[in-house]
Amino acid sequence: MEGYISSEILIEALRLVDEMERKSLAEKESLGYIFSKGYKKKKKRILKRAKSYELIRLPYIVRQIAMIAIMLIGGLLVITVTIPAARAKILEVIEKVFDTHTDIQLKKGDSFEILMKKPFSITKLPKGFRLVRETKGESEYYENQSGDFISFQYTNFRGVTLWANERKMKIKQGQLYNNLHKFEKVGNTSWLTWVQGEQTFRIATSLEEKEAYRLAKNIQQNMSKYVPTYIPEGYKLTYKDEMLGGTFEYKKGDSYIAIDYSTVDSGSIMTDNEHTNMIKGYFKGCPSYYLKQRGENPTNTLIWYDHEYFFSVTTQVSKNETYKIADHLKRKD
Amino acid sequence: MLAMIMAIEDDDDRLKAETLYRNYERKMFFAAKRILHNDMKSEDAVHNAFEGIIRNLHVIDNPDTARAESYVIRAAKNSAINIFNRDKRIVLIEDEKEQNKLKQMEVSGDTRELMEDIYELPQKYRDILILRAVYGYSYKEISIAFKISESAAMKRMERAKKRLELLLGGNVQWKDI
Repeated sequence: MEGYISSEILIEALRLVDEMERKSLAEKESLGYIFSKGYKKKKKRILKRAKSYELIRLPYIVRQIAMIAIMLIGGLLVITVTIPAARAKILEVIEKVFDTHTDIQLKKGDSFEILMKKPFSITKLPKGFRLVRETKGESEYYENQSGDFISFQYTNFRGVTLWANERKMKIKQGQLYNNLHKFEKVGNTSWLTWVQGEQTFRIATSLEEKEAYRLAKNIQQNMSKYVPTYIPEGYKLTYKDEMLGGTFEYKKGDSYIAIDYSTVDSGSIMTDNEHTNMIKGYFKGCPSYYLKQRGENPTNTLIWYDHEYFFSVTTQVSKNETYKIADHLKRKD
Repeated sequence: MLAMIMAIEDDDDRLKAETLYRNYERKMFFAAKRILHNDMKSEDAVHNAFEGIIRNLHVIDNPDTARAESYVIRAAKNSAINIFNRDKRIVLIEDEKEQNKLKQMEVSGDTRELMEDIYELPQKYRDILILRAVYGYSYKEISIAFKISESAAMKRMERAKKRLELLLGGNVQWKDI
């Protein structure tokens, strides 16, 4: 064929060819053909799957966005679900490693020192004085309306032999708690300083010397009272003493729980069993020791101390229960 | 989430697939058989063609149109050619009867001559020319039917045009094709 052929003519010719081809197939179709069973099975499978190709048929960009969304949501779900679990697991592992590998194997006679910082206060104040400020375990400051003041400070120095000589101060002995002390007056202020046990006290006041001594004789420790608020089921209170600190004992058959708190200036924890493990740590923000006996029916002791008391909880229950009992030892307000 | 997306079902799609099978399954089979001359292989060709089409049902707007018919039949033919090429059998593909029928058609002499030239084209070029020029299928849609890449479809179209130009002696206006 020669000459110019427009696209319209070409398309028309192609359309006719297509039509002819399709028609010829329609004629053949009338001959009939029975498809094989294998083919019918495949056909059934394809038709069944026709529904589930939706995702694949989505435009590419939509598919990408869907996949990213799925991954993000999945990721978030995984993170949400696993972070607390992972944290709990990690803490559990840390605790386990700590418990297992940081035990200090104590030998008989080993000891460690405890220093206490106890709160003191003046129990009998002259009339009209009121507490203006205090630093727990360190100082108290009182004033009255006429402008007189009393400052009371205390700290735990150990091995203090007194300090006044170098300043040519008069040192008096035996007048105050049978301990060394000094008195000085600078301007209108009287200074009375003395040592008692491990503690060093100082009263500074605008009042007279005798008033300073009177105040010094009325220094007492402020001690709190504690009460157990949780004891495992079945344990009965068998002994209670709250005269000096406090002691509570509970029994259930042969098993016992002992809770004790008391003041100590200094002290030591001594292990009397070579097979006791000691775990150092912190409990209620205070230094603590968990003593764990090995062997059958072991006794566990949790010890901790704050500025006021030395606490111990001795049990034959589990470590968790021991800590729970200790945690429920509440201060009486 | 994936299950939810997968569950976005469209009953129309299933209906569309069933209509395609019902309408064109046999025609596809015979189109494939003309190439393969073997029932089982022709069934395979139809199955392969349907597999691709069902995965891309969006290509078919309305299964009851000549556009859809031409598309699925040419997909089956292409599938058959692939099977034929795979088996490397030497068979006469051209259908003498088609040529005879062409002579009997009531069309003008020029058109008949043009149609004869189109028939001279290899099947794969004829298919792509028809799908592209007559029905306006995109290269992407053609690539789905022929199971080739989009760029391969474009290349095939270029070759089809060149081959037809050779047969027609040049001067073809390819506007809008």
